[in-house]
Amino acid sequence: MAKRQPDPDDVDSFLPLPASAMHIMVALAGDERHGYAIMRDIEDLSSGSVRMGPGTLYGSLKRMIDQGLVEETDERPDPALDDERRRYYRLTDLGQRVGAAERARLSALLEAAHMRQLGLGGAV
Amino acid sequence: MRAALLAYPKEFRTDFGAEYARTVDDIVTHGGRRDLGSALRIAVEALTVGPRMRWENLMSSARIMLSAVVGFVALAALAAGSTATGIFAASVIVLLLLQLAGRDRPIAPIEDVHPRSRWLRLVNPEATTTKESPVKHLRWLALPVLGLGLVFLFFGLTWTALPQLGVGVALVAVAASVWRVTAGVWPVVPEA
Repeated sequence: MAKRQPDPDDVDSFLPLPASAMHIMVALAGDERHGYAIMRDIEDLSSGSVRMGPGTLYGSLKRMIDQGLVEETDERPDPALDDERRRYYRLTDLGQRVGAAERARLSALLEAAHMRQLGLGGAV
Repeated sequence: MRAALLAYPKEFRTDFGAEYARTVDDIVTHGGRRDLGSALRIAVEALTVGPRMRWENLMSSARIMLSAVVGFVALAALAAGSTATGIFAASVIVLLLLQLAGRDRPIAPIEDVHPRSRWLRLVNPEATTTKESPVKHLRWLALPVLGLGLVFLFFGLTWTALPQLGVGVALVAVAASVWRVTAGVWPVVPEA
């Protein structure tokens, strides 16, 4: 059965984002990057605990491009190290809004976990 | 390590194959991971993510699902081995292909609907269906209809009985039509 496509006019219909998609969004939040740079950034931001492979990365990117969250850019920010096989990606406006909504959702969840002292011995 | 690409679907290889290869090169050269661990990780990922992508592609395509039905009928016809079953199986295939290839959506202004499907517009006479319309749930009616059609086809082919075959073909065609016209992109017609 085909999965229902999220509605671009309804940001909440994209939520919750898969963990891989959120990692990619965070990596692209600062700047446009190519695939390998995204992988490195994800690994650095997670202090090495998340290592995304190329299959997962490009599979997620493909889905995000199809959903309008990410787009390929024609600009080549790093011409000296450039390779024609490299493509650069950035968040779209929709991607920015969905990323903000997911951040708010995760923040609320973390706040609730904090309030209930999750992992610290039970509720206050 | 690039051989791992073969585990992924053709569409993925076409869109991202060169970039995937470039990234693997980067992992080896810049990442300093020219080791068995990296090769294993990429191979394991390919063997898990690749088949999952293939499965998702398969399941996201209603055409593939209906092709499976067509294949079932064709195999049944071959097994029965008579001219009549061949003709009816071919009829089913043609009907389904017509439904799949057609662009018409009966839940739309009548002038945009192909005559063969206009009767289905009865499900929404106002032609202002939105994405939340209960009409979309009608598509599940297609499943029992399809099941019944397959039963009729099975016995029709087994007994070489034309009435059962005719009913089976009709039910399968109706199921395909119902599924197609009620599971399209919503809204078919912009909201007033």
